[in-house]
Amino acid sequence: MKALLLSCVAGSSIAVLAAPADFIRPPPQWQVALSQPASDGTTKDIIANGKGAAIACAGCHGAEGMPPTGAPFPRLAGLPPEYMAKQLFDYRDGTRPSAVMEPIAKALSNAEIGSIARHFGAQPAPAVKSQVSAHRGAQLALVGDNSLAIPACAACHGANDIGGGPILPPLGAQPSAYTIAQLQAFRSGERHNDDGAVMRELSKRLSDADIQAIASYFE
Amino acid sequence: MARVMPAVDVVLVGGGWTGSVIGKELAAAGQRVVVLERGQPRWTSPDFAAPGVRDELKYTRRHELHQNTAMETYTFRNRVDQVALPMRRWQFAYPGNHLGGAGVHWSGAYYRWDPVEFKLRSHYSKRYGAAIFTDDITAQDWPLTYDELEPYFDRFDRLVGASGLAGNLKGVIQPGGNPFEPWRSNPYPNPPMKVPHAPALFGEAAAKLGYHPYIQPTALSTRPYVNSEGLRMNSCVYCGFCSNFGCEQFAKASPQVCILPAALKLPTFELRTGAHVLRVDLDKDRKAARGVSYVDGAGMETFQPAEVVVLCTFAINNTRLLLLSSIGTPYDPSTGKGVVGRNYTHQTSSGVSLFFDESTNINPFMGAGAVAVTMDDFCSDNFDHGPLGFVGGGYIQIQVVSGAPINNRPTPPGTPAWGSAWKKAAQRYYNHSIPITITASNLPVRGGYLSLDPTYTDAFGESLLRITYDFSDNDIKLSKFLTEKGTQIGRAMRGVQLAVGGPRTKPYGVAAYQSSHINGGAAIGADPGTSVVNRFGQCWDVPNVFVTGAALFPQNSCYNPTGTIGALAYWTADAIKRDYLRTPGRVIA
Repeated sequence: MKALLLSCVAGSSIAVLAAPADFIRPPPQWQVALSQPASDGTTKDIIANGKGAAIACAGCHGAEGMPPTGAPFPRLAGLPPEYMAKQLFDYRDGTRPSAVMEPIAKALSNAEIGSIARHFGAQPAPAVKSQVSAHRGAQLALVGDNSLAIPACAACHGANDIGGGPILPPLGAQPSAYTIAQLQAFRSGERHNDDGAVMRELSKRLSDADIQAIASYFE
Repeated sequence: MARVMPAVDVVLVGGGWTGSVIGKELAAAGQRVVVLERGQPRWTSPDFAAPGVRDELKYTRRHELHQNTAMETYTFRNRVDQVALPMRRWQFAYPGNHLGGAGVHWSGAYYRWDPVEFKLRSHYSKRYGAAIFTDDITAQDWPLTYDELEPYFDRFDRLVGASGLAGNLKGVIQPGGNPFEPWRSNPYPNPPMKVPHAPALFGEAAAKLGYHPYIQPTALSTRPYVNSEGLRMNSCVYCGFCSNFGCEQFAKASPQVCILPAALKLPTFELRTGAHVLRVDLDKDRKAARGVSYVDGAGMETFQPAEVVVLCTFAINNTRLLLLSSIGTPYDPSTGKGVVGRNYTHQTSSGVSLFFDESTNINPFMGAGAVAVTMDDFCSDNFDHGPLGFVGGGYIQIQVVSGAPINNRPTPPGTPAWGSAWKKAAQRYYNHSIPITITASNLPVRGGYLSLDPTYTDAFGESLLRITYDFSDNDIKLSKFLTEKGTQIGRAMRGVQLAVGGPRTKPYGVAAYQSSHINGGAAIGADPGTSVVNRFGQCWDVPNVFVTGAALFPQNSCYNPTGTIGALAYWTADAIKRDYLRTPGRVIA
């Protein structure tokens, strides 16, 4: 690193030695995992029957990513593979703690995480209920709350349940118990895999009634 | 006969950054304050809720948050022997309108001006000899220093939730920051932005060439933040809709996110929107203002009596109000006498278009208005101007402003402007092109000034503001120098197949965007013969009128103005509270 003498306005001189930062970052592990090949037969076998400590995905989430009606497990069908792969890595490293999912994520190889995420991402997403309503859930979902400095859920997660990009999941057609549990986990800080602490912060400003209203809206 | 409102202590014209800051400060000190905003009230929720706010046609093309040219615009000419014509559609700059003003639709690039900018003429004259300024240049020193303003910069940092990595803490250069940064008493309240791919490639190449790239400071919060007013800001989510848009996330600093909710809780603070101010009304001997006249939302002419008037409109609109109110002597370019309107400046901006191979994905939609890797090696007086023979400098950077589909259609030079060849190139390059942008200082010239147009009027029948300006040779040389440096960096970047520099050329025009930083006309100074206001922004001729914002700039820096404008607003508010109110009606010594 070349030292450059800089004439300072005060008349003194400052030696500029600071090394420039390296701005290039390697891709995250989940991104690499998604591009790794895995045999289709193995993927379907893990989903249906599990693998070692990893119990079968289908047991809770359904083989096509649709959990049984009334179950508290999230639907995976049609969620972005990038989002699901990232979550599995986050279960592994504890930024999204879960007694059930952590051992599963740890038992899967990187390539298996990638292929399972691709599988569920390829399943057709369920139809989302068309909701036009004046209740609090609709306000928070579509408009936000100025006095609490809360933007609309749709700002990031997309209106009409299209999602907001590869790692911003669509929120619709999820069991309300699941949505409530996640907002509570963000609010307590137990779940902390959100970028920039966005969800941890916003969920702190939501009352229990607000969380219930959002969950009902998206169910 | 105009309706007369109950008298107040202070009336502020304009509900942007300076009106909000000074209005809140004075209201908190017990003054009865009214802020008059010509536009409509706009709040983050519901007005800027996504996805509705991400409408390029509405906000960028049709100028939803910009001054309405059908109501009020500027006329323009290069020289005094030409007839100025009105701008019907904004191209050269985007003057703000509505609550929050340009503080809503800005990008959030956040700088402090370099100490040299405050003593430009004396610094350069001392180091290089007075002849480095050609005779046509009317640049002049500020009557205050960076060191005096530093505590106010610090204060504004904590209002806007500034994000960055300090480069110079109390004179000690910090690793990873900008080594050319002016000293600061505290670190930035929030860490720097994440770096998108194109700025990262720029930083890599610039560092390889021996320069000092760093992450541009912003007024976009990078983490949940409670500001100095106790108001909440959220993390920026890099949605890419900053410039020309309201921020949907409460992440980009704006008056309505950072200060107005606190101000509106004060019983002494009133905000009146839809109030278009026509003039400051003076008493008979024109030594004191009585208040202001405005037209309200229903079209009724109204007089607001006040003890103090503070002009807080968008930049050079303050100069127009001074001229319409007959405050101070208008500048005459033929004699060089008079002060109101002198020292108009804009920006000497240029760019280098970069076209990449198809394996380099720029993803121009993944960004934020001010997320950039930038370098100050050629800013201010950070390099030897002696052999170059010009004054000033500029920053060179890649900033991922927007991939918005109407505007962002980069094609290499020589591509047909329409038809299948254009479509093919537009598709090929959408994700494989981005410019290096160069933002440079701009010097005032003797023949450049602001005045009332003799022909064209606004919707209320008042004369429009006329801009007369052309670049000095100084700034053309500067632009050529910086654009060559930028082109060299572009050619050193990985993946770049073609780098085409486009330096600024004469004449200065208003048909291409340069920046929204239009300045001057109410220069701040120590000498009433060459300035409109004293070091506190107080009018020499009418001491109960204060002027704020970029109208005060005697010349423009390469650095974006908002940080300095915010610091000055707190500086002026303190002077009014501490000095003016003790001896009202007098020029503060």
